[in-house]
Amino acid sequence: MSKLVFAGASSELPNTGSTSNSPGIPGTQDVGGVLLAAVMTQDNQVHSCATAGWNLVGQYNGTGLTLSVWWAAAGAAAPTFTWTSSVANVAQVVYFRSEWDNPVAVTPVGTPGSASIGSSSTHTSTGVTGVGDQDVVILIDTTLSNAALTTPSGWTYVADQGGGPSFGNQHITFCSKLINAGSASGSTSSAGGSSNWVTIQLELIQDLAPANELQISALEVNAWLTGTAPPASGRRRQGAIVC
Amino acid sequence: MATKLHAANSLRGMYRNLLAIQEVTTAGTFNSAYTSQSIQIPVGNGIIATPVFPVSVTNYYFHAECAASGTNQNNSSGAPWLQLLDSAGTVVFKLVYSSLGNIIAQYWNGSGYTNSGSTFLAPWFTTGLALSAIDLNVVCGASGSWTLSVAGSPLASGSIASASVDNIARLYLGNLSQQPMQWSQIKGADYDHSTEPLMFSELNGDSAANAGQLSGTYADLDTVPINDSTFVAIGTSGNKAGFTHTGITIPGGYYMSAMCLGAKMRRTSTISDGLFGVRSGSTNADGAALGMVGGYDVFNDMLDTDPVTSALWTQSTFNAAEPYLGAV
Repeated sequence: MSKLVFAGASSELPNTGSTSNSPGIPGTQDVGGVLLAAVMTQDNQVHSCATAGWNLVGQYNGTGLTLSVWWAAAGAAAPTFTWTSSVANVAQVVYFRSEWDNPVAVTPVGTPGSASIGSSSTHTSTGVTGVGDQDVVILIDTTLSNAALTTPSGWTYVADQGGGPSFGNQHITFCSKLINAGSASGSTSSAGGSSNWVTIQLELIQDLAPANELQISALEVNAWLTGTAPPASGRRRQGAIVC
Repeated sequence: MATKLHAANSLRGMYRNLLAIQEVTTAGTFNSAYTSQSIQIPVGNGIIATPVFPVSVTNYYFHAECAASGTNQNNSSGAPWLQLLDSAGTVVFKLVYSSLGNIIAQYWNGSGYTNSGSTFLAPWFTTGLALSAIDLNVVCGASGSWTLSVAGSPLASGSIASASVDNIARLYLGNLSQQPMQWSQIKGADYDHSTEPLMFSELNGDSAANAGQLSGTYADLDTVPINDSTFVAIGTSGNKAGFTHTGITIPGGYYMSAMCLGAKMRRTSTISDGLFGVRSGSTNADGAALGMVGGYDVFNDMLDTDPVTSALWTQSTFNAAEPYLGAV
């Protein structure tokens, strides 16, 4: 069971030329949920956000466009993102609610993978590793074309937002992938807008702790037998996965 | 010195990627002399996995018993049935679907996979609900090799000619989609352990000595259906929760070689880590902290001797010992 589940997206249309964007936030939020925002502008404008509670994950420049990613704990005020020049832009906020009964918020966004950039209609992204069991990885695609990314195989569509062409085309697409085997999300390749693009993957960390506990969901005891009396070694061997 | 790497007869010692994976007690899918269940991977491409081994090895011996619920396993070419990963997480050797009921071995050459040996018909895909005892030995390196035996008789083999097959540190077991697949007696070591069975011992309840520190019920440790949202919990650092277990009767001609513990667990908030322990006599012996990182992990502890007395296990000391889990 994933502890973070997509529960809504902002719906404000993209702005066709301005120095800010206020995408709004989706609906009612619960304690432990995570708000994730993606902001795209033309050119390599430096994005800022003065709204309390919003944290920059990173900003990633492509050719003629830039993408910044932000997160906030559920309940944060609707953000306003700003930059210096009046350019085409689009921003969207998606909300993931926590399935914990009594979550305790920790930093919910892991270290993102490497950004990928390109210009063809085939958009690729670089996977993230070290993902926790049952964590959700988010793929964000943005392009200077008003076309959503085709959901890559094995991924789930979350939301998209775009507009144009009066002040330039732009589009953002969110996809998600529940990691329930191994610890790597894997790279992606799928069709997207035939223009310049930037993609990034990042992990939403599931460890929104419900309590201060060591929780044991399974325990097994076995005796390893042998046909010959073993020599004493006095050793013990421990192994663990990090997923 | 022989090193045991992993051991499991149930999902309590294995990581799984699908909630649908379950334990089954269908006759013919496990050897009832040693266990009461097998792990069933349903139709699809589900995977069960061991923990990362405590040490990576270059000469790996795998043993398991498996059965398919039906015959004529089919899948897309290249679908994995068994995978061995190195310490960096790269699949360095795998047995994959080739054609109806057939498997071929492949090894990692640094940039792709090279077929090794000939395609072979897997008997467990042609018999249905008949146990096949499988032994696989993989020797890493540019002059490496692999051998697969069934019921002690060689079935297939091949060479490995790549230094990119550098070590083995984890095992994935899968299915080939068309029929459910059962697994039991899943063991790995750096020596030939093909004749060494794994005897399952059911949990009974609270240890008398380490009781009262656990919330939840033992039903929450049940894995049918699998649900990680139910668990038993230790709420205070330094506390321990002990478990009694059913006594085993060692078949004639066998000796105790190790107590093997497996658990899937996670820590939350200010609990910094967890550990396995064993209470023997009236003494607790803590194992090392496991290095838990937060999300659910599966852990093994392989105790070659009684950690309190350092003596070899016997049937009576094994049956009397109470494994426990501790919150660090």
